[in-house]
Amino acid sequence: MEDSEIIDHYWQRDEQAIRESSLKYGPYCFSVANAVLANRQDAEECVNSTWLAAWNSMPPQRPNHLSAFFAKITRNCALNKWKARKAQKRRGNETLLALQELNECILTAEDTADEYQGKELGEVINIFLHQLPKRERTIFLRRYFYVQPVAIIAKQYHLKESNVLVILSRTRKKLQNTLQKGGYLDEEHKPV
Amino acid sequence: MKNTSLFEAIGRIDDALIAECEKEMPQKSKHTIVKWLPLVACACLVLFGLFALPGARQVAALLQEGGQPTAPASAGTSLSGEDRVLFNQLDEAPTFTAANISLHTEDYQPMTGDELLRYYGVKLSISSAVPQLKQQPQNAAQQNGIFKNNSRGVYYDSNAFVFAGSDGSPKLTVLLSKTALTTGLCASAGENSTQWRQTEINGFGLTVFQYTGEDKSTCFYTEFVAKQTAYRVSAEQLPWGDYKAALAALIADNVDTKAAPCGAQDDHVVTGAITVVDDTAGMIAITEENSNFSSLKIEGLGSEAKNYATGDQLQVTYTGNPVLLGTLQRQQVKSIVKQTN
Repeated sequence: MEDSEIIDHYWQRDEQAIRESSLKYGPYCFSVANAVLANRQDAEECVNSTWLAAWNSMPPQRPNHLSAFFAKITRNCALNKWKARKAQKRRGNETLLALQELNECILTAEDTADEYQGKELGEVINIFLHQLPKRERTIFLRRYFYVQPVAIIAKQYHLKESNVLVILSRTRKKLQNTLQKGGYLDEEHKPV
Repeated sequence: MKNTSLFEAIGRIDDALIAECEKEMPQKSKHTIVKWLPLVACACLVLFGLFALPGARQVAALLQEGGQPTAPASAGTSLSGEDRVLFNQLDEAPTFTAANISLHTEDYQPMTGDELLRYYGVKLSISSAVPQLKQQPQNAAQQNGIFKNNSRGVYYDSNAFVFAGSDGSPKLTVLLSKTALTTGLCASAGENSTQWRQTEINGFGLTVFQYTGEDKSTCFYTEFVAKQTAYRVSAEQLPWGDYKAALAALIADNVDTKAAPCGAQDDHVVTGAITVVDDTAGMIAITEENSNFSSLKIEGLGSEAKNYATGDQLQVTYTGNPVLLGTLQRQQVKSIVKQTN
């Protein structure tokens, strides 16, 4: 079924929408969630939460890229679940690694992560990514959106892992500069 | 702000950027095959049913008490006169949440029919019970066997055993699996709040669906779990009496009804923690470690579902067996008691 038809089903409040979503994008969303959580059951729960969230979002939303729309919901759900279980020290090492790598370009020490700043930061990153060369952008997203292991990314791009690490490091540095110019960085995280 | 906030912010980027990245994602590995599972509820889609089932299909909701079964063509398996026959009439053939699952060819272990039966620990004496149904040779093209590796163990093991008449009709298919213990059946009790009801054969309660096939013949379908193996039994152009005889043989061979009462009127108690609450669909799911199922759903709760939260520990008393694999219906639940630690 075409995406537009699936979206129409959501707008018509027809539960066929959920069935078709699951058929077409269930495995994809599962892979997104499982990359973050590394736990099958939790990932499955995220996928199902995705359909429910989509049901609650459409209408009024009518996404242009349904797969990306689902991926974002799934990833967000997976992150929330990952946070919830972090205290239990359950597995999720790839996510932890990705987060540690991002540490170097994080924001002010004060925990001012209010909703406004979150949205604003998202827009800053959005602009930043649009300005990157395509390859850098997709490698960055594979690592930090899809949480793919560096080895996998390297294999898919026919690069050495060290090359991917360098690309990621340079991109993070650029992001750090962007955030610094925007006044997001505290002294601790400002580039030397 | 923490690194998780940055991680979250990356999740807010334009859909177009994600779509662009998706396009560059590699296609499936050449070492991977995709197998469609028309009758198998892949675990990753099980919980889909939590949101999709209620009202998902219109069901005629005829609950034909007593039924009008025809006489079995064979007396190979005795049918107790006390058997309780309650069909659940569907107005069209049941459908299933088709799922695809990546199966790695290097994990494939082919098995013969006998090896598979030993693997499942299942005996199939259906041909003795219904002589016109001859077991058909396993179709090599369908890759009979299991998929197993060190990290996942056995992760796919659904295999079909077909019994058919000389010209291929009537036909009865038994699909067995130890890994897919929850249902992919898309059917609900319909809008008029009727409920699935259970037939009892040889002391075992199971939910039998009746529907009209494409050739206008009467067809049957049921699914149940015994000894950690899921059975999905469908029949085409097979009289009810023969279908019942085949089920009776399956139960007699593979279900120990004396070890624990499992009739349509027997009560059971399970305890477990809630893993899913869907107050929109009026459902909850609990995980009960010692159950046949990794997750046991309770459907039809309506607004009552709002009374529960993920993590709540429940003691659930219900009658009969799960109406579908891993699914209890509200009407068969006698009590749900929250337990305090």
